Formats: sequence, structure tokens, C-alpha cells
Amino acid sequence: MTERGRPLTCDEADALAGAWGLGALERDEAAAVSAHLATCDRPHEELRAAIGAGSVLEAALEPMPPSAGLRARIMSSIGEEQTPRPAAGLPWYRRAWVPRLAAGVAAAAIVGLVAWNVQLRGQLEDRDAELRQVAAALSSGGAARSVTGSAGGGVLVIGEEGPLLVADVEPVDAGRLYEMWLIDATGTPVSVGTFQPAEGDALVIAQLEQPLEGFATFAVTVEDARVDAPTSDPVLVAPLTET
Amino acid sequence: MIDPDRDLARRIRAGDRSAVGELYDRHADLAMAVAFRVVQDRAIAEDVVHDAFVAAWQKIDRFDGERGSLRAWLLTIVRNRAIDRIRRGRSTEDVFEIESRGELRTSANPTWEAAVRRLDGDALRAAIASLSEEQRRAVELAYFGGHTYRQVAELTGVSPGTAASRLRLALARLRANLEGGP
Repeated sequence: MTERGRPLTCDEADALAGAWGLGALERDEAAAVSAHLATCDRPHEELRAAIGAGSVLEAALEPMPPSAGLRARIMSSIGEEQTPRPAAGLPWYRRAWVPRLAAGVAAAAIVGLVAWNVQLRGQLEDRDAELRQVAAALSSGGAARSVTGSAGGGVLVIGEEGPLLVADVEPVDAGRLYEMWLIDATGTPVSVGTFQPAEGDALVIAQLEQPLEGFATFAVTVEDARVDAPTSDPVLVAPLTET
Repeated sequence: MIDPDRDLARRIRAGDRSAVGELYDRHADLAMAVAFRVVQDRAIAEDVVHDAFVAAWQKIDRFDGERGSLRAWLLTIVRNRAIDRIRRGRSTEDVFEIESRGELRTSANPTWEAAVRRLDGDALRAAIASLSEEQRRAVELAYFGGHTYRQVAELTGVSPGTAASRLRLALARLRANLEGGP
């Protein structure tokens, strides 16, 4: 081929069109082609046209869906709060990655949960019986699940009368409410109650209408009224199975 | 009609993280295919795709929409990072430096970009299948193997001139097929 280190003739540059277009030249040869194109009066249409050929090779590959957790991993790396996003096909609560995503979110929230828990204990003397029930559940060392998402954060605890959501959440628009869901391993959602934060007090304590057994994920959505299946993305999630 | 990728690039530049998620929804399957084709390992391919999307978020100011599509730019990052994974010793330049000079794939080229927009995967595969086996092998080694044409020559037991000629003829034939020519 060419003698390395000297300027290329037009024919020598053209002979490298394929390698040039595919990025398969050594640095010095690529620089020599660049220099030739920059100084030569001829159009060198073949050389210029070769650039970008790789896009066809890539587009001809059979698409390969990534694993379910990769999107959440990327979004976590760039700092976005994790919330499942709508996509064509299955609704979010029927997708297999919901429990795994919830697990990842819960792990990230654990430090904040501990701090919040301490704060909660300090407030107990002034709270009502329902809050005392929550405190009793927390103090007894019973299982608690951290709940987090774009609407805020909190914990699921097992009280004397069943599971309770205790959460610090954003207020909802007038006429809207939070709806709680338990979702089983097949992605079937069951509505287990609604709540609305009282004005000026974002701390919510809401009793779930069913026990957690048999369900894989707890979630909360914002709805216009109580519905039979979520119509929007979850704003709070928690995994209910060990992952 | 607004080009969705152009709008995504604008939003990413503006710091809209959700736009990265939308970019992922549009192109992750192909990004995975490119990464896997190079590294031949699913877990490593996912690491590559992860790093590429994070890089796209961090380096969006290096993307020049006048020289090519956001998709092409993203896949260039994927391919280069994948090749770096399997051939850490290669004498590569930073992908963004190469792109900034317009030497690689993100330079505007109507033939290839138009073909990708116009044809589906089957049609593109048929065009590639029209190449001779030697040409396809040389293209594969160069593009997805990250080898220079001189290395392709060594790997296939031919002279550097023959390897360069195979690559040149392969692209000429591919271009003619995609343009509907002979």
C-alpha cells in the first residue's frame, strides 16, 4: 500500500475509501487522507460518500432488547428519580421489572428512611392513636417496607389491624386522590384504598384494605376517582418480595 | 414534522433527564445489538450500553446535528466503547475527538442515512448479503471487530492492498444496491 508518512496521491487516497468509511485506518493514515481531502482540488466523491457506511451495518442488525433493569440503571446513573415510565404494550403493573425496580428504589431510600423514622419517633407524643399504632409496629421490630417514588417517601408497616402506609407525600390537585394497589406476580392489580393528604399536613397514614401476603409489589397512583386498574404511572412503589 | 431525535437532543442539552429515557426507549434495542455484535457477551454489552447513554447525557454538547443524526452519534459511541472493551490495547482516539473532526459516521452522508430511514432491517440485510463472502468478512472484521485494514489483511491472509480493495469494493457495491443501482 502507501508509503507511510508522506502525502497521498489522489489514487492512493481513493484506494483507502472503504477503510476510511469504516474507520479502519491507522491514525497516521487517517490524518493523511484528511490532509489530502483538505488540500486537493478534486472532489473525491467516493471518499466522502464512504463516510457513514457503518450506520447501514448497524441498522441491519437484529434488534436485541436489553434486560429489564438497564433503563432504570441508566436513569439512576444520570440522577433521575426512578419511576416506571409508560411504554407501548403492557401497562407498567404487568411488566416483570416492576418488583426489581421497586427493590432498587427501596435500597436507595433506606438511609432517608432511617432518618425519617427517628423523626417520626420524636413526634409520637403529639400524634393520635393511629400513629401510635404505627410506632408500635416500628418499635416491635416488625417487618417494614420502605416506599418511595416521585410523590415522596414513607414506609409500609404491619399494624394491629393490618398493613398501614405511612408516608410524607406531595399534595394532589383538587378533585384528585391517591389510590393504593397490591400487584401479584402475574401483574394483576388490586385496589386497596385511597387517601388524600390533609391540607398543610403531608404526613399520611392510610390503612390497606387487604394483607400483603400473596402480592409482589405495592404501588400508589394518582387518579381522578377510585378505579379498578391504574390509569397512570405509579408515584410510590415498594417491593413486597425479597429480591 | 419535527425530527424526534433532534428534539431529544435539544431537551438533553437543556438538562431534561427524561429525554435520555426517551432516547433509550427509541434506540436501546439497536444499541444492544451493536454492543453485543462486538463483545459477544450480554452482560458486557449491557455495561457498554449503560456507559454509552451516560456519555451521551454528559457529552451532548459534542453532538452536532448538522453532521448527522443523534441515533448515529449514539451508536458510534456504543461501537467505540464496545471495541475498547475487547481490545483495550488498540490505538484509539477518543470518539468525541474523532467525531469533532467529522471523519467518522456522524458526518452527513445522504446515501447511508437515507437508506436507514427508507429501508427496514430485512432490506438492509439483503443489501449486505449481496456482497461476496470475502467482502462481508472484511467489513465485519473492520467495523464490528475494530480492526484496521492492515489487521484485516493479516487475519484473512491477504496483502494490505487486497484488504483495502475488498473494503472499497464492498462499500461501492453496498451503496449501489441501496441507491437502486447496478
